[in-house]
Amino acid sequence: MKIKSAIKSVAISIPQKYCDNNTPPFSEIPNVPKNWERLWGIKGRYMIDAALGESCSVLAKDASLKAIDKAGLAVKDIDLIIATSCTITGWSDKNPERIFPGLSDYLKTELQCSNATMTLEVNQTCISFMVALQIASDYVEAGMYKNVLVCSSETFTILADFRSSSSTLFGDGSGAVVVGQSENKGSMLAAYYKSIPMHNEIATLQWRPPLGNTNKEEIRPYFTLEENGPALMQTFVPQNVPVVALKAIERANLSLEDIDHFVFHQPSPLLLKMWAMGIGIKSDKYTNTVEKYSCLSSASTPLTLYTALKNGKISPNNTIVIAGASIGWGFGAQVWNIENINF
Amino acid sequence: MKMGYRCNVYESEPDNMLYEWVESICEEIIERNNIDVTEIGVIINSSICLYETTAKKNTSAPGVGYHVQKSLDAENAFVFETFYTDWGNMMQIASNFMTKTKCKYALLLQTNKFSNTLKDYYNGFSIPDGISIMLLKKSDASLMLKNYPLMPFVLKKASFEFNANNKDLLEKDLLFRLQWNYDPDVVKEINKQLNVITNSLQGKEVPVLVDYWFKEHREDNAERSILGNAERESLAMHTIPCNVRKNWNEFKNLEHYAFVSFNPFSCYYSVLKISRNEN
Repeated sequence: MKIKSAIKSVAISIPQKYCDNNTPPFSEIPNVPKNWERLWGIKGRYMIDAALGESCSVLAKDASLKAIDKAGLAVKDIDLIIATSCTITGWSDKNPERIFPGLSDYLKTELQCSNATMTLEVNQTCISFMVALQIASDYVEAGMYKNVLVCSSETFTILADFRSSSSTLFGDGSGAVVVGQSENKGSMLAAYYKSIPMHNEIATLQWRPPLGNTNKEEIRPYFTLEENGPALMQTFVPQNVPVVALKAIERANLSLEDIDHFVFHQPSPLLLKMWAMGIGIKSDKYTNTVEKYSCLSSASTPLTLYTALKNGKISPNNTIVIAGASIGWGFGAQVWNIENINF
Repeated sequence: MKMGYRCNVYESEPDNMLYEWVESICEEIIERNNIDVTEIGVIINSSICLYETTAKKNTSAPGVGYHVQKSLDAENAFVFETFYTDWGNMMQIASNFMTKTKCKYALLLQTNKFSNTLKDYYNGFSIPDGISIMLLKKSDASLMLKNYPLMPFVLKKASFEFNANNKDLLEKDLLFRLQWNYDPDVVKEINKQLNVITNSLQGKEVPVLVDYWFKEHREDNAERSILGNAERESLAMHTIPCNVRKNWNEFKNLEHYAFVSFNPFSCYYSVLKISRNEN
C-alpha cells in the first residue's frame, strides 16, 4: 500500500522581549518614511536577547523538542532533520561564527538524536519551510524515513541594518513540525511551484559594513532592500501567490470551496490582503500573524500554522493550503489533507 | 594552482564572478545537449561557498540558481538550494520534484569559488574552486537512496565559518574559513565504512562510482573509474560528475549502477542506486 505523509505536530518558540516600532532600536532608525508603518502594517516583533541566553539555535531546539513531544515521539524516533534558516551566521549559541554544518546538524547533536539520524539543510529564503516540508513528505512517502523533524528558525534582528528602514520588517522566532506516515486520510494532495528571477537583486543578503560605513572590519551579512524594491515587488508578488495557490488546488482536483483555511507566509498585512483578494477568499479564511510578530522569513509559516490551529481556524480532517513567496523570487503552494495536528 | 596536503587546489580567476562563471557553464551545457530551456522544471544548487550569488557580487542570498534561471530564460523552473548536500540526495530530491512538473529536465549545480575564503593549508583540507553541473532527464529508471551516517566517534566534521572576529582577515577580504581536522583514525573509519558499502554493492554486481575527497579516501580503488591520477587528486567533491561525463556511454547501458557520495560536513555516505528496467 502506498505510504502517505501527514503533519503530526507543530510547535513554536518565541523570544521574551517584545519591541513595537516605538521601542529602541526600532524607534531610532533614521529616515523611516512617514507612511512606512501604514504601508507595511507591521506593529512590532519579538527580538532575541543574548543576555537571556536566547539565540536562533536555542529557539530552534525549544520548538523542535516541543514538536517532537506533541507528536508523541521521543528524540530517538526522529530519523531525518531538515532545517532552514536565513540567519546564515550568528545562529549558533555554541559557535557564533559557524555557517556549516548548519542548524540541522546542531539539532541532531543538541537534541541527542540517534547517530543514524540524517540531516539536510534547505534554503529557499521565506518559503524554505515549504520546500523542506515537500522534501520531508517525499522522503516519508518513498519509505525512506518514518519521522521527519522540519525546523525553521530565524533571528533576523541580527541581520538587520538598523540604519535602514527595512530592518523594521523582520523579527525573531522558530517553528517546527514533525512529518510522519499518515494513519487516516492525511496527505499532501498536490503542490505547485514557480520561480520568477527577473528582479532577483531587489532584496538580498549582502556581506557589507552597515550603511554609511566603509570599514571592512564591520562587514556582516545584512538584509538589503533596494530603494525601488517595494515598488517593483508590487508588480509581481501580489499576483503570483494566487496563481500558484489556485494551480495547486486545481491539481488536487478541488475547488476553492473545498479549502477550509489558508496558511500564508507573512511578509505584510497588505500582501496578505492582496493574495486573499487574488484567490477570492475573505479574511476569515486566512490567519494574520505578521502584524504582531512581523515577518519571520521561513519561520512565519509554521508560526501561522500553529496560530491558526490554536485559534480554531483549522480542525482535524480539514483541507488547507500553505502558500507563500520568497526573495529571488520563488512562489509555492501545497494542498494538505489534515489528520490531527497536535500543537 | 596550489598544492594542498593531499589535494591540488585549482583557483578560479578572481575577476570572474561566481554567478558569471556558473552562467557560462550552464549555457554551454544547454547548448551541448540542445534542449529547450522551457523544459527545465527544477534548478537545485548545493554550494558551500556563499558569495557572488548575484550581480550585486557581495550576496549570499538569493542563491546563484536564480541567476542561472534568468540567464537561461528557463521560465518554468523552480529554484532552491540544499546547502552542502551530496549528489545522491540532490538527485533524489530533484527526481521527486520532477514528478510534480510536466517538464523533462532538472539542472543540478555544485558551485564553489573560495576567493574570499581562508583555506586550511596546514591540514590540507581544501575544496577546489569548481563548478559541476548535472542535467537530469525524466526517464523510467528507478532510484533507491540510502544514507549511512558514520559512527559516532567520527565526530570531526568539515566546517565553513565566518571570520567575524578576525579584523585582519576581514580587512583582506577573507570573510570565511574552510577547515576539516581529519586525522588517520578518521580516514580509517571513513574508508572502513566505504568498503562495507562498496563490497555490498559489488557483491550484487552493481558497479559503483565513488566521491573522492582526499588521497587516502577510497584506498582500495573500489570504484569503476577511468580517471587519471592527476584528475583524481584534484577533484574532491566533483568526482562523480567528472566520471559520469567521461564514462557515460558505458554507464548508460548498464542495468544498475550506484553513486556513493561522501559528505564531510555531515559525516555520512549516501548511496543512490539507479536501475534502468525496474518499474
